[in-house]
Amino acid sequence: MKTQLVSLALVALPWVASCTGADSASPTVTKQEVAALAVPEEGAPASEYVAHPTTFRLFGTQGEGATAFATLADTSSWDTSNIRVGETIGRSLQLVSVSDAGIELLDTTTRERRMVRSGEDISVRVIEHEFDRAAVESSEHVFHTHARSLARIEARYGIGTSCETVSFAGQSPCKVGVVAKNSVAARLGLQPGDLLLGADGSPVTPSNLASQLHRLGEQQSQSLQLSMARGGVVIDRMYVAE
Amino acid sequence: MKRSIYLGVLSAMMMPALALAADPSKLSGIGDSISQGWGANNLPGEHPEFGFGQGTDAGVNSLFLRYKAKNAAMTKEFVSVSGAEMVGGRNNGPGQAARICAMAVKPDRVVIELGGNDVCSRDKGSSSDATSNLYSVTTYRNALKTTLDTLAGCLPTGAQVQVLSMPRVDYLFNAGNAKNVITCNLVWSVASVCRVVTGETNATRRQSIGDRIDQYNDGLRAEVESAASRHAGKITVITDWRGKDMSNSSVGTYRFGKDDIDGFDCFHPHKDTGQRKIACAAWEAAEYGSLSNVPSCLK
Repeated sequence: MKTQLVSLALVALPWVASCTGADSASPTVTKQEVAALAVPEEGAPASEYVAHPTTFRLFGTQGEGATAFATLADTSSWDTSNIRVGETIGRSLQLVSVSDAGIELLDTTTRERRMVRSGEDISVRVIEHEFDRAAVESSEHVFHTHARSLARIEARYGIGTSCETVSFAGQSPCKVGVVAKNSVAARLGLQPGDLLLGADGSPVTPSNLASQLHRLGEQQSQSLQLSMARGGVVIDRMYVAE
Repeated sequence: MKRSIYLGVLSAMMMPALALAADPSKLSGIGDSISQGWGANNLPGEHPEFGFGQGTDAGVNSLFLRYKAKNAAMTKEFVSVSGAEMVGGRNNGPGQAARICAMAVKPDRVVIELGGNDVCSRDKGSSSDATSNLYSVTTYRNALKTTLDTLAGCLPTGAQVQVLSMPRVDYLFNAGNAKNVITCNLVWSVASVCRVVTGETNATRRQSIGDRIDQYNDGLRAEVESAASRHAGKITVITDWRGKDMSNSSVGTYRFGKDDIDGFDCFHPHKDTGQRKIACAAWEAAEYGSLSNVPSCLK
């Protein structure tokens, strides 16, 4: 019975989208959709958003109540996201509820609710702001960055982290502290506890971390190689400006 | 309980087997830092030459070298990535499986070693439940299912996929403390090594995390059996996991000791001990070995 309901919802999606004036296949985001986003970027015009069709597989859920989360994998790359109730995929798909059996998603632009069970796929229209694609991991440890977006993120949310020098394996890496949500550091994928070993071969220090990350927001920026240890494992991460 | 596990093993072994490709010609591996030989020689960084799967060091006697002894023309191409999980991130099991499917020459033997980071990369649990931030067994199984289905869709008929059980990270924590309680705890703290257990002061909570790993391994075995049935006639899918009650019968039940781990971050297998033992156990749990010989590998 539940399977039938999910199937009906899948069939009904294009119809629902057309009734709200949006084309489910169109990358263009309308003003009406922007007005209905769950997480709008304050003051941003519709032209700064883009929509794309995506299929997710719900690997499963964990827990219940406020600590519950769902793990969804983008089937084009198998990259995953852990999402808690109230959080969103992109700007418009909000996780409404989590149970052992599955999840309920709400598209705030169409007001459509859809159930997904663990192990099942769901095709959706994901709306993102240009900030969301300011640093995109294109291959193993390689991120493509957009200088203009990073500069705007810095102006609005700041660099968003600091670090302190520690002693590790005969070196003096800088250990990342708190990473502020939506900040440049968050967009670049830094996490609390990361040990920054070097940037383009130079030491990272508490006093130069901000300027190293700021560089990626400059128009003439080309790339930044950040050597770091995460969970005890050393990673050489490359940020390449587009 | 034990009886049902034994019967499960027996029934899996009695399933009509697909004839394996006669001469294995290429080995690939999906895995994490253990597959990459991280710290295996007590030096930081990846040292794949000491990895249990792809290693070329005679002391480790890797799966690759053992296959090469059977067929001198054997080749290898691993896609393992340090830090990778079965479930999370873009280097997860399904992501690595897709990279194998993109290879010009597909392997006919694949070994999967993942899971430690699915635990170690999670935040500390809630005050009432140390496992509250860990993936559910269903989540773990669905990621493995996707991995195996992806491989089944591209590997040549007769290929073999071996899924190794994951070591209990609380055993690694114990091994590190036995090795050097001060140095190891200092490194774990500074480098944020598996803080979900190394930063956990309550033994009962650490035990509950280890119990979840046992559940992952039970789920792993169930998924392997399901995939073996689903893809019968195409590929064989096997695992070393025989249940948590059979001590030292698999990688997942092996209690790593202080000499099994590296002296750098106290959390990775050493080439002369941990890596060598995993290689032996994986070999004995597959086509040319015998599950009954696995315990002798892990002594």
